Amino acid sequence: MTSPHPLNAWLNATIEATAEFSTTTLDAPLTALDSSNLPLDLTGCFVALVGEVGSLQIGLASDSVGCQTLAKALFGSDEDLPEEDVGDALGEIANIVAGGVKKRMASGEISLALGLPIVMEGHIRLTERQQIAQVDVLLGQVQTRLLIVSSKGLS
Amino acid sequence: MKKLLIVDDSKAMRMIVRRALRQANLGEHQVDEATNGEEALEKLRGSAFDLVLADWNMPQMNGIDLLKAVRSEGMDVKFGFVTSEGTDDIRELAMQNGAQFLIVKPFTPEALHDALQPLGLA
Repeated sequence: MTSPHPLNAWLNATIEATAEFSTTTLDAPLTALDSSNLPLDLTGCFVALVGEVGSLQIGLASDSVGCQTLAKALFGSDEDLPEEDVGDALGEIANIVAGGVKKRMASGEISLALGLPIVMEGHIRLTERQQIAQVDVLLGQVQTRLLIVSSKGLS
Repeated sequence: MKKLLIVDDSKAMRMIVRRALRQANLGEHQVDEATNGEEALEKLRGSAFDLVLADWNMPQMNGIDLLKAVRSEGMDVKFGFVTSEGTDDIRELAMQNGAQFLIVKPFTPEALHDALQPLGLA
């Protein structure tokens, strides 16, 4: 029997928060994917959640076409957007999702502060002291990877 | 015509709030934008607004510091937050400092309408 991933509760909160964003803002459901065609190198955005229990990064990423699609949906645009606007839109999605995770995970015992969004391009390299949890989902029509990176020991 | 100020460092979110205002049956209104609290404070000092819709987390001057500055300077403009900060302590802090409402992102145009109606703005 395998033990559950230490970040499972955070990952579930991230999925719930992303689903809430998807239905409210994109008017589309969130679907979990068993497998996806996402490449290793992705573009995305992370927002830090920092508290006494430790810190973690909540992020989402997709390929360049997926990022454009998400950004255009947020801006209500039919035209392709400049890189700066795509990063801004991804940052806002990550911010909303991280806020949703905070709402779900914060309690009287756990206080968490939200950081500002950071855009990433490429793939993540973990140190020995870090752990990652991830799941691929269909956000609207866009294959998207939801990611959580934290120091080991956080659960 | 009502005059509104949207304060958010995200261009995408300023666009979403503008869209939601149009969908919330606000009637005729004019919207101005600021990308942080400092810029918003300058605009509020220079012109009268009916409502400020501010994000919470922003660089330079965040939303709660903007609200405190607005009230300490004696401005009685209606002030609401549109933020991803949805915990009870954040909401309490906002209200204690003179905010009229706090809407948590993601939000619907209906939620915005419901927040603005008691203020006579929708």
